[in-house]
Amino acid sequence: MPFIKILINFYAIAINSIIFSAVCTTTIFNPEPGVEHQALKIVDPAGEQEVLFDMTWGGSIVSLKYLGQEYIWGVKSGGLLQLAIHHCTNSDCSLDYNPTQAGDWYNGATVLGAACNPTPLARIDTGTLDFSRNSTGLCVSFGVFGGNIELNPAGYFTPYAIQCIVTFVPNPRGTPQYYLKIDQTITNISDSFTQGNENYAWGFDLACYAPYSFANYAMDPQCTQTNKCNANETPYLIGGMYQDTQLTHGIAIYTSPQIYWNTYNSKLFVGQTSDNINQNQSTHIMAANQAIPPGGFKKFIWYVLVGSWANASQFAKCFINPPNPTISGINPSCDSALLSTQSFQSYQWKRNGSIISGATNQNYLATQSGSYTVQVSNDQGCIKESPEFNLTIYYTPPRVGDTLMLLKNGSNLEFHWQNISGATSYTVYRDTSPSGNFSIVVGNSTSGTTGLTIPMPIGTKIYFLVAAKNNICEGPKK
Amino acid sequence: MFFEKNLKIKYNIKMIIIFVLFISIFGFSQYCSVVNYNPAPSIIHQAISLTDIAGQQTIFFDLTWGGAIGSVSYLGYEYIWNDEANGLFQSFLHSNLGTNQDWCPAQAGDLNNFASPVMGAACNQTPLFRMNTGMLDYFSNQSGRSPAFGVFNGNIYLSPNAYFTPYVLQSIATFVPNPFAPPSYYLRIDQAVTNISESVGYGNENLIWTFDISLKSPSNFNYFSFFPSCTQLNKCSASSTNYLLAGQYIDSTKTIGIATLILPTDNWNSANSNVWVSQGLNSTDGYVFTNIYIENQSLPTGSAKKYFIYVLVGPWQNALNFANSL
Repeated sequence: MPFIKILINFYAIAINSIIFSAVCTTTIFNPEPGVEHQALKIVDPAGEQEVLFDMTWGGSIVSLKYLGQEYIWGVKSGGLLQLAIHHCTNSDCSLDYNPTQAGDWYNGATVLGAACNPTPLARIDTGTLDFSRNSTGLCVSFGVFGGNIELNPAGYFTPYAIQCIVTFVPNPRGTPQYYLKIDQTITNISDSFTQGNENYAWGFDLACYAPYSFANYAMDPQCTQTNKCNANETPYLIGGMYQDTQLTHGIAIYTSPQIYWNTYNSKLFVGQTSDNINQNQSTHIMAANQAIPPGGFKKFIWYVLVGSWANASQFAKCFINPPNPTISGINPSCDSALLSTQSFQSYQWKRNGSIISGATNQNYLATQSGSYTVQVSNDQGCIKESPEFNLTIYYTPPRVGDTLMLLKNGSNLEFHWQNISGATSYTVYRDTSPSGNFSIVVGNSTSGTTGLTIPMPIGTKIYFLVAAKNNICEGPKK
Repeated sequence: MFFEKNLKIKYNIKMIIIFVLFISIFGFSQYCSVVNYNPAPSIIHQAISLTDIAGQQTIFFDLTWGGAIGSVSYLGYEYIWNDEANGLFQSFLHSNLGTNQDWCPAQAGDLNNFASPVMGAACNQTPLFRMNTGMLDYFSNQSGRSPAFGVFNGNIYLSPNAYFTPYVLQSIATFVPNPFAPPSYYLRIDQAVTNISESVGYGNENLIWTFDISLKSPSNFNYFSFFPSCTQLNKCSASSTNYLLAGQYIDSTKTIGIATLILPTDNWNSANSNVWVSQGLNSTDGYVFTNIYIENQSLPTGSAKKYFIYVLVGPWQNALNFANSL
């Protein structure tokens, strides 16, 4: 194998010319005074939200700022916004095998890889540590970070690797303009030899910690620890924490139990707690009875929604059964086209992204070419914009007018006329009466200059008409 | 239940004083310990040190270089060349061996000497040692397949780049008795490579791999042996090759040296799989190498490839006798 000698440099932190997009970069930040961590920083396309994924704490979200305000609480590997899974080995769960994305409070979980991409925006791969620090005795290895075994105090490796792919998705309600979407996969890499082929039923814990002032809670539906909801009956589950009683400034997390957690006998609930000692609030979406057999993996998506509860919960409600408008109409059309969509509660037609004033009905008569969409809402207030309908309108060419000339050329009769702007062809018709319908085609030509030459008709009086045409429309006859 | 426990631990963890009795928890034996060593002057790496029960061999698994074997000492000799990430005793995977499109998950690190991160390691009673390693692309993404940069010690490899591969290597090591002593024990390493590429598009890899069990020794180990005679020009079918043994020695009688042993029919017997050995001297950098290649190994998304390797120090003939006895 070939090799190149280059000086060892394990701790390269400088940003260089890699193709990081404008909204994803690496940065150095201070999780606490005197401590520097590297992080991936992503910013939504509107520049409203800035999110930091801490490379020391397993790629967990250590900061989310919206319009300059911090929405995440995190100290060491506790708190943050992260994934943990739980397997209790006794009835009261005081013995909890707890692979955790960030680490175990003292020690960070090792991040293996990270990248900014145009699409998706960022991806992070992480090993996990047992947050309970081997209270169950199920751990078989110590954690290793930066080439050193975590021994003081010990960190305990768990054979679960987390892959995290992050992007922003538009918020139809517009405030904020985007929500954060996290695609996660957790893979069981215990498949080996003896002592490690783990196959437990796991309780997933999608955890979000917020500052202490976010003390006003909300959840929908009401799935609590004492009133858990069946995954197969729960299309959405969202819980949030807010600074104000009106629930306008806060953070929520959301997932779809029916889509991502619908396994045998799976139940979910939202847990929310105020921690007076550590001065934080937390919201957890808990999903029980999830299997990850050796070599297998569990994939799911969750969203992080800052801003108001009204908009966040609306996003969640509308996720499963959103309105799904499409546009139909004849394309291309001549002079105008009647565009239609399905029946909804309200409509707003747009052309080239701009609202068309007064176009708020199910149908819209378009008289201009362009890219049309219709934003609709259903009876639950769910908003969705249709895919684009690219319409081309052709307009009826003006009549050829008085420029038609007939010339006798020997035994032939020549027709000439002035060309009409926008016309691509011309047709000469004839009839025996000036009031006839002129349905008989004498001939066609693409140009009035070239015109049309026919044998001179003999005998009967004949009337001729010329009509200009484009791809769709035929102009009036003369 | 889960939630209550989670909160309880997170809120009270600062109050808990945990005495790290790792020796009692994991049953560290006298033969497995954590040490610091110098792979090069002024460089200190942490390693797991294994000593066989007879006290003859000591082996360092370098926790900076992905847990690859950075040192084997026996009878006062050092058997491993560890100057670079290309050295040591380690496993590689090749998607396109010998081409400039080779996508090459490597246990120790990459060609720029960036290290593959170890996630977990432990001494145990039985097996003696286990370890989990992420694997960097040795060829620094010349294939264009890498979905992410490597990260080590909480920092992204950016200057220059190192490239993450979605493969995790698990290694479990123990000593097994050698009925043809000396030495009294040989090292057995059980490994599993797991493909964790299954995610959300962009990375669901399902490639055919050539596994590469790579041994580098100091350049004076320049007497080579291998059996059977499986070379690049005369490859052997895995299905008909019970074992493949290859070693390098400092003496023409081949009494002091180190060899690698694999069992193709047991571990590598897939369709059209061939095995072969490459050996030689790199005089520029001062090492010799023995690489055993195992072709046509599939590793679908979410699956693991398991195999075991023996590392045999001492006389070639004893290693050969051991191989024949399996």
